[in-house]
Amino acid sequence: MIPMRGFRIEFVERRRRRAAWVVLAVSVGFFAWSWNHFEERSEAAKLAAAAAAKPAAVDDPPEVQQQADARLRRRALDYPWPAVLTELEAFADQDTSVLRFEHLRSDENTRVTIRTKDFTSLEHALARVRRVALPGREWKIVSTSRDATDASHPLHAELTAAKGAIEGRMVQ
Amino acid sequence: MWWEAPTSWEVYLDTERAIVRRRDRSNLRVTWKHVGVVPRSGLADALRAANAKSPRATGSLSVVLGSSLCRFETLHQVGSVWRTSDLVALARSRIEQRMRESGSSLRVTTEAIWDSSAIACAIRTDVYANIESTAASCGLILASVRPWIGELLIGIRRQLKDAQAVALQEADSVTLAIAQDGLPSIQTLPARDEPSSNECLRLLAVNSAIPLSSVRRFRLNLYSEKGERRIRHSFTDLVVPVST
Repeated sequence: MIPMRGFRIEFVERRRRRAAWVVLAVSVGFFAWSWNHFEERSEAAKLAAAAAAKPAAVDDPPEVQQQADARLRRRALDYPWPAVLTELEAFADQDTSVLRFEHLRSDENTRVTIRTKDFTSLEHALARVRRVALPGREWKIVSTSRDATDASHPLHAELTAAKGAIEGRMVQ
Repeated sequence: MWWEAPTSWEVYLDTERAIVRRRDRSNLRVTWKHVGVVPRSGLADALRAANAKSPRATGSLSVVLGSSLCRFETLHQVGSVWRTSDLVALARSRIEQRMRESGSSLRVTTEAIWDSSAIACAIRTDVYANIESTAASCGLILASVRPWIGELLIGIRRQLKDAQAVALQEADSVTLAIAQDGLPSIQTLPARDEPSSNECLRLLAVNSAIPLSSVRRFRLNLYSEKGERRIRHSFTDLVVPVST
């Protein structure tokens, strides 16, 4: 036997629930729109910052290009070439030798690939290049690798003087 | 506080009178206030007067209807293939046939409470329109209009336990709700005083072929004093058991 139980019969149509769903949908839509808007603004800001840092584009007016070129030349002249090259040449006296030196005007970063006898020599080399102060930049070891065919200098490393922190990677 | 919950008004309505209560919610506390028993025609004025004292401008109105305003119909063996609109159409035609009332003058709604049985309830369109206009004239949102017997059976289910027949004596009607052989049935007769109420209940029990002694009886204590007992949701505190 089943006992008598209550029931709920509603005469008022559920308009308020529908309204709640509409409010929820509008809120979700607004959140999605605002997030997208934020992303677009953020992207635009990044592009604007990158454009400001870059030299003038090819299709810029001639005077703008000239100004950008002059600025780059001025910065290139400010680079402490004698000090850097002196330190690199001094490597030849130690257990270290330079395989490659690279300095690009586009990003103004300096990259040096060297080969050393061991990690102690690499540490000495890093200490030497760090004597050369580059404004806004810091020398770091970006990667190391071991060359088994090079008996005298098996440890190869890439040093970089770049803006901000660079995550190093070790390759054995 | 920058936001406060609106005041809720709860009204019990039968053919002649209305019981009005106010529910306030602040700081997660719900407080009830018994406003009073007023003639049905004076409900709007009573709500307006009470609402004028309320610090909050908006509110909602929940109405429970006495059985004298409701026409019940139970639909058996409807199964799960029936849509709600089909159930409402069937209930409307049956009530129309039984009460000899025009279907267009009734507002019908239903709820399936057992696997294959549904209870439908109809009220006159003008009764519903009157409730709607009362809410609108008082600036209240009409939150719900429900038959009281259904709410009551939910509210006092612990007292019912395994009762299969429940009788409710209201001021102007007597209702017998039974679950015989798992099939629900609700019958109502108008009765305005105690002797006629008892006689009507006896008739309903005979009609349903159940002994009167097996019926769990309750009575609406309409003039319960304010503060006499703790106010509960859906006026369930106004119901007192009647010894048979």
